[in-house]
Amino acid sequence: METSIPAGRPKPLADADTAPFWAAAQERRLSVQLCENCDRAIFPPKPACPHCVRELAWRDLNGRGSVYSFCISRMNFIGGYKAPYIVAWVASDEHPECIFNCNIVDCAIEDVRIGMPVEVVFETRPEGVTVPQFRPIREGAPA
Amino acid sequence: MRNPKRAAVVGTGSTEIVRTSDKSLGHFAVEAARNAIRDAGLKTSDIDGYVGSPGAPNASALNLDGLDEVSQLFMIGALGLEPTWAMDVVGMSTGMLVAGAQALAAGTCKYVLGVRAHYNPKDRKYSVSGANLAGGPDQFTLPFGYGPGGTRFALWVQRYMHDYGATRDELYEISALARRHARLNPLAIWREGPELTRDAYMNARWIHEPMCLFDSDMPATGAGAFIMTTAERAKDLPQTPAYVASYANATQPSRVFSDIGLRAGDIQVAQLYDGYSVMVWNTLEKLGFCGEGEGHLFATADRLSLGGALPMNTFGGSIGEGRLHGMGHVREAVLQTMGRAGSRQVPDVRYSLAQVGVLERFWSVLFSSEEPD
Repeated sequence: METSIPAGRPKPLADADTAPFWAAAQERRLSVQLCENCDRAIFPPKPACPHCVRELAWRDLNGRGSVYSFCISRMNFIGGYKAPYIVAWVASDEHPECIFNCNIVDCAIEDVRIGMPVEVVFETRPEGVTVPQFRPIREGAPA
Repeated sequence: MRNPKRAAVVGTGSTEIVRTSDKSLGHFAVEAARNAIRDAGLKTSDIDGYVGSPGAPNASALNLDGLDEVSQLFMIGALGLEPTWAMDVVGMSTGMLVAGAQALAAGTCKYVLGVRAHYNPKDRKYSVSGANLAGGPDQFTLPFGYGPGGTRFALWVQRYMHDYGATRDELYEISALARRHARLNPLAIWREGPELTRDAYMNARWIHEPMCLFDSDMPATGAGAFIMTTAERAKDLPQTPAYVASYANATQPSRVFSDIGLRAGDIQVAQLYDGYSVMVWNTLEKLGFCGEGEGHLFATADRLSLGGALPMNTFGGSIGEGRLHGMGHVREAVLQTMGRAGSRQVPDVRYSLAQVGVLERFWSVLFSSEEPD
């Protein structure tokens, strides 16, 4: 599957706040910031907890979630993407306040639904970067 | 007791609004500024305050001052201004009004010129990103094919439709209304129609499904400008002042009414930002015109058309006029307050609202035709 990812998709440019997220993705982990003071998970990464302005730690999520919303992109605006494709907001099961922008992969565009259970899958692109995407969890499929 | 330093808009200026042009954006901005200064009965040398909002929002922007952006420095140079106060703000055109009102209240200047201009490049596509590196907030969007063309709003409205049973049939009303009102606005790109039929809307090509072509405004090139001064000085100028009665941002949106003891239903006309049609539902709810999840039920053609209970986007909105990032909304809110909206004029306007921006980032400004206490 990974060999089918087209070249030319924009490459994330990490900064000090976001580098742990991308480094984790490279190791096939989905990691977000956690505020140890107010027990909230924070994504996308922020310089400090937006609720109590404390420093943030990092923790890995189990990678499961559900489709909070989706759209079918039917125009070619961005390099390496060929319409139609699914763009979604996926909410983490463990921390629904964490919403990931992603594509739903291994899924026909007519099959995606709000509430659909999904799991993270790591997509390694020809440029060498690995990004977290999500795919449907199929009944009876091996975990 | 009345506040002599209360801000009022005393003039507006616009250029033609076209899809693309050979002229630079600086050319448009200077023309809009000169028109506004003339409309206010002033001379360029009277202008001692300036506010702008230069950001070019499109993925293909070159961000060159005077070409596709216009900064305070460009305008100071182009008009030979010697301002005692000048600022560029983030927050589009209503944010500019708020900054100008603050500067006047502080007494740092007497006459504020505000200019916002928007450029649609002629030689390349507006929304196609050439970016191979995505930093800052873009690192979590562009690498996922998420970004230009309103991905975020398509996702937002899909969820909204799911939660509240809203339909594209209802969404059609927003774009159709915009196109109908645009026919009364000589500046509008769609001034000569045609009307948007339900069939044309339902069969239009998708951009990001469930949003179609007609749910988006059109990239355009043009500029708008306004002149603000204090209530005290406004009395000596030719135009009926449009007093700034209140303003509020998206963190406490209904304060634009409650701060002066009003409720949403007390105003006569509203210009609500419609870069994408779906925004209007959200804004109607945030401002308290209706409850959460009820925007799609509130936004009927009967209610929002000229002659209805709450005429909205009477100039055609961005969808009917073209994308000026809210300068059209500000111009129309001012003209309605002044009683200068011609065939679009709503009768007996006491309060007229301009709201520009989206979701969690916007400013609303409420104008009054009578000087507030």
